[in-house]
Amino acid sequence: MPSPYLTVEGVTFSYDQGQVILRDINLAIARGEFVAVIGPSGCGKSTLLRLMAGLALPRIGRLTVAGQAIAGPGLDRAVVFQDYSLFPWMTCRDNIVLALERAKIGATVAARRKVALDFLDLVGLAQDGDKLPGELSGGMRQRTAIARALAINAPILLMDEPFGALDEITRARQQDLLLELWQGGQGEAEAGKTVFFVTHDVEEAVILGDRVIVMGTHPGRIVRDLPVSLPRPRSRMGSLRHQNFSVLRETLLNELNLVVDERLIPHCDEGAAI
Amino acid sequence: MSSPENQSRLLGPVSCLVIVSFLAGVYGLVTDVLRIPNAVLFPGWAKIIPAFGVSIKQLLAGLVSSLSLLVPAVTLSILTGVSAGIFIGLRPRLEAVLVPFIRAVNPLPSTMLIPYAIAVMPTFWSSSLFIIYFGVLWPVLVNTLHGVAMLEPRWIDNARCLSLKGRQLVFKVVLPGAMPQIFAGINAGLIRSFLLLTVAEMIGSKAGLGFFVQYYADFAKYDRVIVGMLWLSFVVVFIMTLFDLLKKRVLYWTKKR
Repeated sequence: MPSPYLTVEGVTFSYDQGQVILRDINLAIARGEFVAVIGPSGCGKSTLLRLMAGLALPRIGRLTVAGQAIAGPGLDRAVVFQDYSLFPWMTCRDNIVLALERAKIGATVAARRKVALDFLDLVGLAQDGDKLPGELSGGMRQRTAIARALAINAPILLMDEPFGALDEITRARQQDLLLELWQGGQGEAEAGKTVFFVTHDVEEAVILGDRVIVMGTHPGRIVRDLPVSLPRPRSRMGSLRHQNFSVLRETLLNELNLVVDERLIPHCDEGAAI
Repeated sequence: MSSPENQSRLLGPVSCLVIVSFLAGVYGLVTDVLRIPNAVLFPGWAKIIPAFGVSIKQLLAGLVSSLSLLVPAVTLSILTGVSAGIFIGLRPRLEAVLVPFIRAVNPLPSTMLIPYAIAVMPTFWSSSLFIIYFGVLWPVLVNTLHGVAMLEPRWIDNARCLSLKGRQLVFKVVLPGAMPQIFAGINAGLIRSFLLLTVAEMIGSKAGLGFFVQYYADFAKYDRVIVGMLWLSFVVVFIMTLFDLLKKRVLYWTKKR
């Protein structure tokens, strides 16, 4: 096991006076690893992502990137949210240009525009740079957000249910695109991007992840850390057809059912719940 | 060519024209033909139209005079109101301290301040300017504060993830994000400014749209008063139409979300 790159060490999180959202989370993610996280709503998976992004800080414990504690948001971590990573008053290209400017990529505006267009081209939106996010479909918006996240060349990619609001066909396409882009960056001299991908879709988690983390509720915690035994490079269809796929899917579904049952029948002991 | 969009674009002006003609017709019928109401207070078109003819020079001069008061006053209110609103709005603790004061001052009719304005400001013109400035400032400030408070948390998250700070945060995120509310404030402020124009032009003015109406009302020349009021309304509608066009342009993105 390579040394961990992104770590969560004994993190407990709660809002000001509220209940505990996350309790004693420990997680070590290697450089270049693709970690998918699933769990029922309210398990704190998005909160965990916000902690990694530095948008919130833990009560107890700490998070680190390359040994440095996370003290706030930074451009070493690119974030893609479900449907709101872009500013609606800027064109898609300008959204990316602004991010590039912050990331100090490209010396001039013209250079940054060129880079932005290159990345829009990469996600198949070369023609749509001058459109406002609101003029695009949900899938196109998410591709723009991914283009922006890739453009700033952050080593860490944090994705919070990026395809959650999309219809099934669009989602399948986005998954393939993400696999292609991410795997395209792997296997060079250096490891590729480290991805933390939150989803509520078991198949999506298996298709994309090297590892799937299952989280439970009340309080949010990690209940399972399952390596995905599917070969790389992958494609969505290849994974779906792989012999290991259904076993992985069943395992995760069972794990999720346990979590949900436990939540529905809080006073039953575990033996009785099964 | 007669797409639904084109039709609805024409609907507004056309129906407006129909209604105005109808009302003008009814007014003419009641005054010129039937001579029902008091002829001094309600002069017919037969008196109003010639009154317009002899007033046109004065009306145009009044327009220039009023605009040279309105434009700087409103511009100044917007500049200070928006910048103060953003400065305060981004500092929640400062806002908590100041909000009671802002609430206290906001509803004060700035007409009450006329004697103070005259006493404090160096010239009559600057006193008039101050009255309008003061009246427009508060709706703009309050709405800007509101706009900053209503910025969607996701935009703030997004800005933080990009490490946007200082000037870039203000001009790329806070200002555009609060713009719908800012425009609502300017809208309210503009309407207030027209109301205040009449009052402000009572202070040492020799011309102006408000002055014209006020002046002839004092002499009970109601044909001229009505001409002045119609002219003022026309100017207001014209300015507000321009404002709407500007708003549509700046807030284009709100329609496309």
